[in-house]
Parts: sequence; structure tokens; C-alpha cells
Amino acid sequence: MAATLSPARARRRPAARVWRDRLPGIVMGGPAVLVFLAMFIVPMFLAFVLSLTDWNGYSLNFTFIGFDNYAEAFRNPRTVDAAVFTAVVAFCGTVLCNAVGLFIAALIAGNGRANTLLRTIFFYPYIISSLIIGFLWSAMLAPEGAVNGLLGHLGVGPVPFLTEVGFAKASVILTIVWSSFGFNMILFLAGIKSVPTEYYEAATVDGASKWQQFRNVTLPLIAPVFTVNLVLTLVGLLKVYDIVLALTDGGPAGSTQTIVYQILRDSFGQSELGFGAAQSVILLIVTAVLGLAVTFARRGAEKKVAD
Amino acid sequence: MIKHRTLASVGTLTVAALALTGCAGSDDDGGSGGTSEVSLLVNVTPNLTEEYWNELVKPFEDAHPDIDVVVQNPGAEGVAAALPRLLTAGDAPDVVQSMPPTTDLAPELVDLSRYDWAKSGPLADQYSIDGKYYMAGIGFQLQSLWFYNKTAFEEAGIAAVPTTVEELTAALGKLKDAGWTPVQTGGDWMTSHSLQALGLPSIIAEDPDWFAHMSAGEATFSDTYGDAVATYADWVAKGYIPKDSLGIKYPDAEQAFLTGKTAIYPMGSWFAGTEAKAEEKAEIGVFRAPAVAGVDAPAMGANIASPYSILKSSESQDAAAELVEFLVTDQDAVASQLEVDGNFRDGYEYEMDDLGKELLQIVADTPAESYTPTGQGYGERTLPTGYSDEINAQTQALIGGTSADKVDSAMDDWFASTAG
Repeated sequence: MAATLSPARARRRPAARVWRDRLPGIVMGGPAVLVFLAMFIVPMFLAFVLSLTDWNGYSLNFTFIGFDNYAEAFRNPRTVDAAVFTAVVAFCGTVLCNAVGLFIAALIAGNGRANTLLRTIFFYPYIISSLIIGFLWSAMLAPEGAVNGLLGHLGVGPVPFLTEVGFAKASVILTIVWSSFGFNMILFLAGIKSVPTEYYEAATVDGASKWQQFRNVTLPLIAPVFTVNLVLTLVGLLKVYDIVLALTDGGPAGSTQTIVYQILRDSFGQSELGFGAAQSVILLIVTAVLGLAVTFARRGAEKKVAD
Repeated sequence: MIKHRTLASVGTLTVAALALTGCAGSDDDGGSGGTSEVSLLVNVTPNLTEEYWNELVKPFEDAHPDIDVVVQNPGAEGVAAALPRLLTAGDAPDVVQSMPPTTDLAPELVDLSRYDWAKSGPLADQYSIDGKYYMAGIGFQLQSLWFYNKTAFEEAGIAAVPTTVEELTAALGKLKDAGWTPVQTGGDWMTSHSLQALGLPSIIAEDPDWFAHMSAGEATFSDTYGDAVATYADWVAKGYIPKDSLGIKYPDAEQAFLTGKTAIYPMGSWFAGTEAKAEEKAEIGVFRAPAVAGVDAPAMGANIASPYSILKSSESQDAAAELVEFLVTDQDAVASQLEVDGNFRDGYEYEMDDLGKELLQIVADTPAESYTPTGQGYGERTLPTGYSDEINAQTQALIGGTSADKVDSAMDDWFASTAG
């Protein structure tokens, strides 16, 4: 005989089960949540509180000064200049890293030893420490460095790569692109490889050229990869610091100082921890807003793939 | 309520973490807790090794068996970065080296005014704050110096070292005509060193309270520094300072001058230490940075060498004071420290070459009241926070071709937004 449950009992049993089902998740996920709270949320909150103070890093008798540090961040010409240069680096770097990464990924997506070797070569700069890359290019782009030496042999006069403002800014951006595009390339490669070959076969039967296949098949299908690449590159470049430190040390004339360079200099070089915290909070907000904005903006393209 | 100490400690880490998503190192000093233990936080460098520090304090420990000196090595972060962290963590050392007192740091330091050795030491008055002496140092690091290549001067027909800015400008012209690169400077922090060596001897001689006047907004940069900036721009325009200097790193600039590729090198007295160790080098002399004609007593930029301070949080302040007295007055200890880092102090001689003797003579010839801070300053003679970076950036702009007027204007604007 089949057992029947009263409606009330049917409601109670799932509730008990729910808790029993939840328990492993709570036990296993709880520590991670606690660590996340302790290591990220609480420090962020405290950083915000510190940003409202005039703390100099020495005395514990700091005072709360409201939002003065935030107002100062928008008034301080060095901070504003650094923010503008960071925006230029983030925009140009994101565009170039993804354009170059996608272009090379499309070129070397095929099987074969040569392509495998090229993938390794192009990815290699990404795994080298940014500081090493900065020092390396600093030596190569110096007035008497290898690049100017080579140009000299070709009859071209010395180029002020690191000593003239415009050239120095371009040098920073291009060095960042050179060192970073390998990461974008690898993600694009993974995306391209995941496109089912049937689509290409169908497109070939329809008489589509390679370019048409790339534009109408590959690009739409790797839209989610595009989003990930854009967000990761943008967020990464908003906090660029070490390459600048090693390549130009913010010069010439402070023209290549980025916002993180400025934060660390103000916080620890000038003992203005409160001001540094305010700039950090602003950077955090800007990074979060831009990251979310790009993600939402890309939803349309991703939806097409899903459909 | 959040405790200030907790907030400060976590906040220090957070600012760095938010900026870099980096991580902070840990540092356990694990003192043994004896009542006569004195911890000494020092900068450990290739010259000042941990071994060196332990050897340095050994005679003191031998003479004071009741005091155990524990040398603390802050590692790669250095004393300047370690001290704030240790202070906020409530784990400050008893004595700190190489951390000149500032108005921010002073509340954490013991006033050493009751000790004669602190009040009569090198640059003691210059570093005092509100009449209180928070540090004692071992000697001088001279800043307003022009090292020169004797061969270059001979080839250019310069018989005597310049004693005025006008003579210096004329000498640079002769050096250029003789085919030499007149001034060796470089990028990074060193760019403004040359402008300060050019300007401060006159500016401070004419207005000893220049730092105070600028900080209070009672003087303008263009009115006081304008002539030096114009002269510097003129040097750039005439090619005395190469426009590609900004791409030259400090070690490369030093090496270029040391090996005789350039004629004049504005640098601090520590260069003598490098010169003394070099095997292949040009014949190098030094003269103090001159003032413009008509200024009788040019000011001499100088920093304290190896300043020592005692932390208020120390529970062994008397023992700490005995240690500092030893470090800044004992003949052997002072001479040893001076020699290791190429610093100078009248009455404390060590084995030195001709260049070192020339520098020692400059120290002996410079009256105490002529010494002045450079850069952002120290003691009560300080400029608004960020001045060193700003003057460096603007000097780089001068080399990049920005006009003197624009640089004056930019500096005036900067002071207007920060001073007063």
C-alpha cells in the first residue's frame, strides 16, 4: 500500500532536509566567507574609516577630518594628472592588448609545432616579473641603450624614448602591452579553440571567406571571452605600478605617474596615510564601476551567443 | 569602538593591499625581555652590514655588561618603512637610526635636550623642533658640492675653481668649447640636485629663514628661486646640461663622471666614498657650490649623517641614551661610521684620500650657521609635503624644454595650494 503524507508533514520534512542539505555547504563554505570578510571587507571598511582621518603613519592620535581627503584628491594636481594618465593607460592598454592578443591568437590558432612554439614565445613576457620587464626596457630605451644604438646604425638619430614626455608615455603604454598581451592571446586562443568545427564547415559550404568566417562565426562565439579579457585587462591596468616604477620612475617631470604610484608615494613617502587611503577608496570604486559597466555593456553581445 | 591602534595597523596594510593587492611581510623581533636590553633599529646596507653593526656596539656592551644591545634589521623595507609599522603595532625599538626627526615623528621621540652631546652635535640646532633636540648624529653629509674632473679643467684652461655662479657659468662654457659634456646629471631623484646646488647657496645666504617664509606663504618661489631657475634654463639652452640626461640612471651617471666622460658632477659628499673605492677613475677634485657674485657666505646644504633617536615608548630610555652617546661621541665608533659611508666631521678623522681631505677641509671651513637643509628640509626648516618631488619634476621639465617662467609659475601655484 502506498503511503500518503498529510500536507503539514509534507511541508515539515523538506524544511529539515533543507537544513541538512545546507549544513555541508555552511561548514565547507563558512571558513572561506570568514576569511573573505576578515581579509577584504573589514580592511576595506577600515580603510574607508582611515580615509576620513589625517593619520600620518606615526602617531595614534589622528583626528577625523570628514571628507577633506576626498576633496583634496580632486584638487591635487599631481593626483589629477596621475588619474588622467592612468585612464589613458587603461584605455589604450585595454584596446591594444585585446587587439594584438586577438590578432595573434587568430593567426596561430591552428595546430602545428610552429604555432605551439609561437604561443610559448608570445606568452613568455607575461610570466616575467613586471619589475624585470621595466628595468629591461629601461636599459634598452635609454639614450645610449640598445634601441638607440640600433637606430644609430640605421642612420636614425637618438629617440628620447624615456626623456621626452610624449615618448615616455608611449613607451610606458607599449611596454605594458608587450608584457601583457600574451595573457589576452591565451584566453582568445581558448575561446577560438572551443568554437565547434561544424560551424566553420557549414560556413565553408556556404562559400564564406576566412575573414567572413572570423567575423561572423568566431567573433560572436567568443563574445564571453572578450568580456572576460576586457574586464581583466581594464582592472589590471587601473592599478599598474611596478612597470612604471622600474621603467620611468614616474618621470620625466612626473608625466608617467599612475594613480597607484601616487597612492604609494603619498602614503608611505609623504606619510599621508589618510590621504592615500582616500585615493585607494576612490580607485576601488572607479574600478568596480568600470568593471561592472563593461560587463553589463557586453551582455548584449553575449546574449546573442546564448540565443 | 575601534581602537586607533587596530585601525591604524589594519589600515596600513589595507592601503597597500588596495593599491597593489600585494601582501605585507611580517617581522618578529622576539626580544628576550631583559630590563637592560636595548633594541637598535638600523638600516642594513652593503656597507653597513648586520655584522658591522654588531661589531660597532660590542665595545659598548663590553663596557656596560648590564646592557644588551639587540640590533634589529628591518630587511628590504628599510627603517623608514618599518618604523611606522612597528609604532602602530606597539612594537617600536628603543633606538632608531637614520630616521631624521620631523614634526610628524617628533611626538614619538624622546627630547634629548638634557644631554650636552645631543645639543652640541653636528647640525643639532638645524634639526631641533620647537627648541627640542630629538636626534644626535655622527657627522655631515654635504650636499652643495660640485665635483670636477681636473683633466677637463686643465684642457679647458680653467686655472682656479669657480667661486661665484657667474664664474661657474663661464667655466661651463669653456668646458663645452673644449669638447666636454659640462654637467653630469641624470633622471630619477638626482635631477633637482643640480638646481638646488645652483640656487640654495645664494637663496639661503640672502634669506636664512627662506624655508619658514616659503612655508608660511610670505615669499614666492619665482621671487626667490627665479634667478637660479633662469640660469639653469640658460645652461640647458646652451647645452651645458644635455637634454638626454633624464634617461640616465644614478649609477650610470656616477660611473660616467667617475671614469672621466664628463666634467662636473653635482652630488653629495657620499660620492667620495665611491671614488675612494674605485680602481679606475679620473683625477677628481671638489669645490663648494658657489653663490652669485656679491654674496659673501654661501650656504652649504647638508644633512645629518646617521642620526639616532630614542623612542618615547622605550622602557630603557637611560640605557638607550648611554648607547646613543657612545655611538655619536666615541672616537673609534664615530670614525668607523663616518668612514664606512664616506661622511665627515671635524675632529674625527679616518684614513682618506685627497678628495676626502678636500671635503674635510670644506667641513672645517664652513661655519655652523651656514648649513642649510635641502629638498623638503628638516627640523623647523621644512617646506610643504611633496616639495622634493615637485622641484624634481619641475627641474626635469626645465631639461625637457619648459621655459623658466612656466616653471616659476608652476612652483608658485604649487606653493599657493600647499603653503600657509
